Amino acid sequence: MKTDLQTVRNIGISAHIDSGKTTLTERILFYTDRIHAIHDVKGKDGVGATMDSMELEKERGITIASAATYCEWKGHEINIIDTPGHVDFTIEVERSLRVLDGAILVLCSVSGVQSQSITVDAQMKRYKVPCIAFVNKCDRSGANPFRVIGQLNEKLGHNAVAMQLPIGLEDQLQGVVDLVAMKAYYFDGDNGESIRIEEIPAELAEEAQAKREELVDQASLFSEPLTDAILEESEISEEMLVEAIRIGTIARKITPVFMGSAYKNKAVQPLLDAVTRYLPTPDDIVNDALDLDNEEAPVVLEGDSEKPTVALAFKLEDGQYGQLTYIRVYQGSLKKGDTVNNSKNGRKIKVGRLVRMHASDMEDITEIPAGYIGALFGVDCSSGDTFVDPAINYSMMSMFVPEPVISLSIKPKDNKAQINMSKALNRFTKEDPTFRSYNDDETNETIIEGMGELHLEVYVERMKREYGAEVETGKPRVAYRETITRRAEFDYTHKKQTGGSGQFGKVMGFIEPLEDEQFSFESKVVGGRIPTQFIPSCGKGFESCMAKGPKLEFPVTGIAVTLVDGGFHAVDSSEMAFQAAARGAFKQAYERAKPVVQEPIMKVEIESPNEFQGPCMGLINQRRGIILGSQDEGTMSRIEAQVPLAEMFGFSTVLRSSTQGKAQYTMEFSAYKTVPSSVSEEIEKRVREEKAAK
Amino acid sequence: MTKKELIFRNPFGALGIDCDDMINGGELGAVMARAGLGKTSMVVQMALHAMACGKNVLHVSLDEPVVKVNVWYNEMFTNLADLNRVEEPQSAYDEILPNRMILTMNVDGFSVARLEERITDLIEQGLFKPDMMIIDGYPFEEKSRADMEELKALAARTGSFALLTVKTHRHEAPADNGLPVQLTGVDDIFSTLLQIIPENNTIFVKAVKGAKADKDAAVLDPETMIIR
Repeated sequence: MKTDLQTVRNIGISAHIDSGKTTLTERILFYTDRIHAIHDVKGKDGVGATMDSMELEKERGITIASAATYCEWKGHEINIIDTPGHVDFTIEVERSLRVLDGAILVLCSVSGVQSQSITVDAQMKRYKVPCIAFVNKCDRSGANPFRVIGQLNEKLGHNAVAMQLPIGLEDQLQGVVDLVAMKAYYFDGDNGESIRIEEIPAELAEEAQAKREELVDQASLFSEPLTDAILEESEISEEMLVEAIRIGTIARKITPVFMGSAYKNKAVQPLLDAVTRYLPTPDDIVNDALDLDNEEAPVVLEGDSEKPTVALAFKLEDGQYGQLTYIRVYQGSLKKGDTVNNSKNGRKIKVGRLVRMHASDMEDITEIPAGYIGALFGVDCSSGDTFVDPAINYSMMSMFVPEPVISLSIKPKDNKAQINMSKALNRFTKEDPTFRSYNDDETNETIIEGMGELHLEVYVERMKREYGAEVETGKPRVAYRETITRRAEFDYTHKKQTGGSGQFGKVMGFIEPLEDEQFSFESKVVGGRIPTQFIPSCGKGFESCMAKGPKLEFPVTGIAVTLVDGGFHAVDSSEMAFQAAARGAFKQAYERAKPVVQEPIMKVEIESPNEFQGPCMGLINQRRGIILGSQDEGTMSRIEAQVPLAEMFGFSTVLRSSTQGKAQYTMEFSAYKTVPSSVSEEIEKRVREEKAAK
Repeated sequence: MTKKELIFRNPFGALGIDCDDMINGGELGAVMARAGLGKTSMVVQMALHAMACGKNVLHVSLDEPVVKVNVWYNEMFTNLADLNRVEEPQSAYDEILPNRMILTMNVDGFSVARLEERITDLIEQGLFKPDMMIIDGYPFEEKSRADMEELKALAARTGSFALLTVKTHRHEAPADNGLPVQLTGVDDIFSTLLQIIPENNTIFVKAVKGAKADKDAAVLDPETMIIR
């Protein structure tokens, strides 16, 4: 196994849905000899592209789970993480980004930078992933790669420069001009596998020269030798230019743009060259871990194979031989037979079979050194867990996991489904931290929670397909919350002296709104008015009220409790008594603290042809939404709005029917906001009815 | 929280602009300044003031995306609310936000006819009827007097006040009448002209044309860009 990190690239391919990401991946695997035939995402041959290993994705033509695939190109090893394209699965995207060193941002040459591209780009920025761009679908009518470059600069704030020039566009697309080598590339053969290099066609020579100057100009910012060469008007060598662009790309200061058409097999190989030339090696990227023994202080990891091992499990898959765990090693190396710790729960893990993946086929290996991606068999863990050498206690950055905003009750249709359903839920909750499930004790129903309607729908669908568990679903429910809006005092005595030993506890203090935090408890009791051993019980008592708000029984958030004074009885006071006193005090103060119900507000973006802009805005208006604005983009316009999640159910159907299916939308959780009083009354009524029905 | 509380101390009195005046229909106004002196923050301030008065503001931006314009508003509101000690600023902001609509257009594709089409659409759908229009980044260099007259007519038809920003350049000498060259030949169409001028470490806003022309000047706080 090769261990020269200079020839390793861990990359992702991110894109807007439908910009041809999976097709591109497919072509890359074909040219690197990992597969021997080409299938299409929505192929008629029923085989489907290799990366889309899940049936459901095949059917819908979208990629949900990210599989890691390994391939070789001109002596370089490339690990490709196929990232999902739908915004409901962003946790998957973000987890993938964590393990990438670089990415290819795929854009459609016709529709350009779309709302999803902006989300994906924001994620890449957050994890500082250097990227190169590929303008795909240059064979489509209306293709204009330079408009897309303009959009990259304007909308995403990139410093995008063209590395190539298309030879012909739309159905005339023949090849590309490489602006570094100043040669024309044509792609012949049935699958574009034979490359013909020629001189630049005369009619493009002038434009190519101009674009090259632009490129050299931008690149010169990152390399002194190059600047000198320009000033001295000496010849600019290819290596010099490549090195300068590489430095700029890794620093995220420049985005080289390539173009072509994956579907028509044009210019995929030069993109692979670009991956090896411009994207960083694992050594170029600094990765941090958190030292759990040192108050989570960040530690820089070194790609040295001799150092203690640090590895991250970023994806789980259920294979035919049990759980397959995809890992990336950041430091040290993971060898067959090693023992490592799972830093989340301290459990010891013995490394058994190690493999390298190609979508659903695999290859056995004995070691995964730092900087590499591989998979483990037979390890019980969740995704996001860190495996470390027993000598250290690091965790890879704890990734931010948003709280679920929507829930759905599910009921198995028969006995068999019951068993399979719990198996499936167990798997899904491990794979996806934003997906949760629990059993509601009161109704005895199984509830699943997630980030959006589609998110839950996909899991219900997967349950059916992969586990054969047919379930009936209830109505989706929004995760409302309760909170208080002002400070209120409490003074409560819990007293019970009827038979047996009595109970006595007295608490005094106040509750107040707390921002950005669930709950806090502070005791300012002095002089032993409440004996110290009972104070934690008070805290426990208050916290136990947070699960179900006194107003409408929604979870309560954002409350700070301060205990100021109290009283006790030498015989009758107990931990129990103080817990009960705290509960009583909470109820007492809560009523006075102006409790309100909050609901999740979603950031909604609709992309629609101009003629349907009015109806789209109308739809938002009907749904208690606030339209932030609309952006005019030639024939399309994008409407940005904030809409309560409760009003968004079934929106996709309505949107489709009122725009002849020409508009699409994305939705993302934005914030919790107070429900207007009229709506809050309605919710109250509904909750009461539901309660009565039970 | 009432809207009354929100109506910030009218920052524009000194400039001869009143909440009601500036919204009464069919007039054109302009804020002129060099790049970076705070044109946008100035117009956003005026927009927030109008929104707090319950007027509908249509913000047309020709070079910034919706998100960015929104950030301008958020920041400006936070600063203003701090300064005026507004209680529960978030709910106040939520209350006035429906009075605003941001429309961004590509400057190349911008034409008054196009703008009119969109506004008519908004009005006909019963979504939004602007009382005040802000046009940030209007390409004076490329447009003719006829375009400007058309814009004025549009403002009159929709019964709104249109406020434009004029970006002047250091290297361009002003025209003979002392106004930026961009306004040459169209300045008579405007009823109000404000100029932001830096002088010795202070930023002044002067009314060049309008009710209080050439009288007092207001001062901008360089940190928050709020009129003091």
